Amino acid sequence: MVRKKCLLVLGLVVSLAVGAFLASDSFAWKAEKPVMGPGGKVASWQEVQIPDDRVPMGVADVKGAVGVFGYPDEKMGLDITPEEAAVDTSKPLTSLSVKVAPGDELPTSGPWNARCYVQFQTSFLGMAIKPQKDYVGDFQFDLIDKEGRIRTRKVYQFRKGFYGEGGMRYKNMVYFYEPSDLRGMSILVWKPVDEQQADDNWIYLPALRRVRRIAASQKMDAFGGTDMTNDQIDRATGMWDAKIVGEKTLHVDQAPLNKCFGSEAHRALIEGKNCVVVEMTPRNKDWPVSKEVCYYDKKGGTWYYEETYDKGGKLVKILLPFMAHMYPKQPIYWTYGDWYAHDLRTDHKSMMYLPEIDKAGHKVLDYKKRDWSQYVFWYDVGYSDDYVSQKFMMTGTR
Amino acid sequence: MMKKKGLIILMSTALVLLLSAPGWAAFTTDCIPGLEIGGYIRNQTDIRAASPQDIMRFDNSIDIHADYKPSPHFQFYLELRPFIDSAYDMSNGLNNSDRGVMGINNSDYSWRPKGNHVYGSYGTDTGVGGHVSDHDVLSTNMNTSYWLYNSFLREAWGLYQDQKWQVKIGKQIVTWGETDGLKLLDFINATDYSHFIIDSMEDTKIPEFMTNITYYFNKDYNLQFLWIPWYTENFQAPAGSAWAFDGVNLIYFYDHFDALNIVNHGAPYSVASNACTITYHEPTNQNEFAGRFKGTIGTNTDYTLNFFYTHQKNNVFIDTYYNKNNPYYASDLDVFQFQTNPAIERIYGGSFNHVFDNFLCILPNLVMRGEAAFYYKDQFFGTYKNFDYASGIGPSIYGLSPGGDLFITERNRLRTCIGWDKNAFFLGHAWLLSLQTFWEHIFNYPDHSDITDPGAYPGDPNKGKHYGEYISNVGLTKQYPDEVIWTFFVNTDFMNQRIKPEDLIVWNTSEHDGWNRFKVTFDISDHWSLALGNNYFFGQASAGEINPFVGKGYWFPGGPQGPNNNDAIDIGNIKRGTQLGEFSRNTSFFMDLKYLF
Repeated sequence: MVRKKCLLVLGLVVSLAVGAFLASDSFAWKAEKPVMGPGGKVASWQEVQIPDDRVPMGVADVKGAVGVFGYPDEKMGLDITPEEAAVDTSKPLTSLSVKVAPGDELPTSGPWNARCYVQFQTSFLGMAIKPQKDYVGDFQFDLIDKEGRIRTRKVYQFRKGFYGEGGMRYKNMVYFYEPSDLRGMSILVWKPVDEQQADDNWIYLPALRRVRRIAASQKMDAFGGTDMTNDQIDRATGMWDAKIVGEKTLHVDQAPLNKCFGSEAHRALIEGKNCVVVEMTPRNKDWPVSKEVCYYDKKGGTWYYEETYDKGGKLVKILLPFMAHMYPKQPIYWTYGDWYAHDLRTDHKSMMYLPEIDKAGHKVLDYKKRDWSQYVFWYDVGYSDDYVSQKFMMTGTR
Repeated sequence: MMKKKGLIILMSTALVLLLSAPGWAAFTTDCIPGLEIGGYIRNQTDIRAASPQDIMRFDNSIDIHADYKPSPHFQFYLELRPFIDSAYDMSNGLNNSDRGVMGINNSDYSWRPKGNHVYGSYGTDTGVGGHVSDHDVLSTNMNTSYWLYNSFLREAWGLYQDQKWQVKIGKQIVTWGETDGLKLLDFINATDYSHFIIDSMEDTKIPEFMTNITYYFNKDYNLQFLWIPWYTENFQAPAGSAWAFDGVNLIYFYDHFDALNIVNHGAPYSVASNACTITYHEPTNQNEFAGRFKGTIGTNTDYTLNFFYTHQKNNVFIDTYYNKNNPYYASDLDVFQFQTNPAIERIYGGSFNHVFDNFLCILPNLVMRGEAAFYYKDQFFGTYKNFDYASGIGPSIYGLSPGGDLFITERNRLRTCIGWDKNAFFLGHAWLLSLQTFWEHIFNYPDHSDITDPGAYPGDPNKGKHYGEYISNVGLTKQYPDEVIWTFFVNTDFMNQRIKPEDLIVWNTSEHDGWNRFKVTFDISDHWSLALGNNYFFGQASAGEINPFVGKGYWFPGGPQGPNNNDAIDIGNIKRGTQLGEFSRNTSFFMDLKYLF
């Protein structure tokens, strides 16, 4: 009887698998490649066919989704002006869907205040800047200890902006596919428009075969074991007081930038940038920081650099985020790149980036050459809301 | 048989080494898109704290799984997990009379007597007590068939899904409920109790063949239906093994020993072995069905409504009958014939979880979760009276229970749990704190009022004595009408999640026993992890209740006494402790080393 059961189960599964393999068809996926003209501007677009394995999970559900290749030279994206990116820090910031606490309202006239820069950064990270609808892509995190040993995590990320629909600002799903002990784990966050409301968080652990609602992560807790906090990844804007304390031009040959963890190429991006310096102090006095000091591009709002100070006022962490426009198509969307974080107390470093080698083994990015020409962005695909729901957590993996 | 299993292990090891080679990943992704293969090699070692030379487990396992997704609509999954626990092999040659490992018949997985008995001076089977021979060495003496279907072939299923439907058919695991550690609704899959409750849920759930259909009304509401065509019982640690319940030892004893002292009175062993037998049954109709409705209220509350038509998975319930025409004994005397028969169980329940933004204005971001399960007419053992060596037992013609003090009774049971989860930040680290309270209530608990013994026979010295009756749990110690259990779990991490300590406490305030597990996990690298820890059980190791069959009292005037031999008395006189307290002998240190690929 036992042998019969074994054979029946195995036979059923194997025959179905073979059938599915034989029946599966491939779809001719396309992506648009910018053909550059003079002055580093896009002159025309070329449609390129890409193989099935270049298409991430979620996109494969939407026949007809078209990806967009990045710039062949990062400088072309970095030269996008605030005007081209539709950012004007001299005028009120009105395009965000967020409900703030009384007293935290954004100014209705005049230039941006500190809170405007912080809200804009948060909206970029949440892909909640119109007209952007959704995003899917993979990320890699390298955790580097002081001996130089590296642990790597790779995830897919799905983000959808809801702009107040159903009381939601955006929804975000992170699905781990490396390393093997984390494979299949997923974390779902629904961020409400009302920043006084806590996020809704769920986690799925393949070992438990169960979706579990979890308490909102402590904002000051490390994100996934990295040296970035959950708050830096997803700022709780309502938990901070913020004020502009001055302006500064960044120079990478001066402290602390001259020795901070980050690639030469990345640090060169911020050389000479004129920034507003925003000092944020936590409203929760139990938080283990006295302040975070953020440097934003004064005109473009780009987030370049952040310092964390402990309760004693000592500089303990630095963060070099990447916030730029490597997406060459209109409308021009903000994009991720290589982030660097360094905990000065333990000398532990973290790097978060779009992986140079994608899941299928194709080399899609070259951070040394800063060449984005092989990287395909998937924005506004129109994938189902299921990918930012509990349903996908259960079915996305075993 | 050993050669076969050894060959399987060898081939699996070779396969693992091949699969973990760097070139394999490229092969699978290039040649078969959508196919992912992974797994691990693992060693689990448990050492008894009281006697460090006593290795309770030396389990080596290999896990290989293949996940194939040819399209967004289809998925196929296959997982193999062969293992060998060498602890039983290592006991060979050791002069350790405390080990008490028995052998199990190789024809099936039940704990039945071995084919060849070694008889002691009183005609009883002395295969107990450290003499390990001719047995199946794979973890707790699981036989080949069971090992093949339930371990080596762990999961194998195919899945189809679209916007509305998800259909998953094959050998799989389904998890219900919101509780950690103890289960109220999470009984879809049977449980492997070969190491009691110390192993993780993922390792102890026994995958079962089922059809799993879910219909999604929308992203917030869905209805799940399960059909399980074949009954699977919990795997109990077999009699004599480290984690065997005293109750399991007891019932094995009945089947093994000259409990009626027949051999001692000159009859051949064949008479004794037929006079007291246990027959194991599976349910006639093995079909099981389950349904679950899942919904959402707002954005911060999820809930489920559950129903499960199943069979009780602890297949130890004895349905006694008498062979009044037993040819081996005097015709006017009954002898003891037991048969196990898993009873139908109906479970009605539900669960919920809710997030408080700011609970009572003092606890922000607090998760509350709860679960309730009503068991309709669960079977229990009932016990008529407390026992001592002098109490009488005997056949039913004398008005006594044919099983001694045991009888089967049905009661409704309600089990509930409330849990709270909170993240806290102190000492520079984030901590997860999780508290759960379980409450179990048995309806119409047998009347505790004293029963006056009418006397089994003229001159019965027990006549006039007062006793109370109660319901027994699987371990055959008293179960209370209301039981409350608390669990508390705390964990954190250091060095960017390289070191992860955690502690779990389970405390039964009704039985005053419990379990504490402290564990530290070291993520040595992305491939290697090492966990070290301690399992500590506390409580009453011996309840003072003894096996009535061992008593030397006379069955009836002039009749035989209970077993009058040291073999039987030593083994059968099992001092049953509380459910967790009885395992205080198993307080141990453990190591879990894993290589993942």
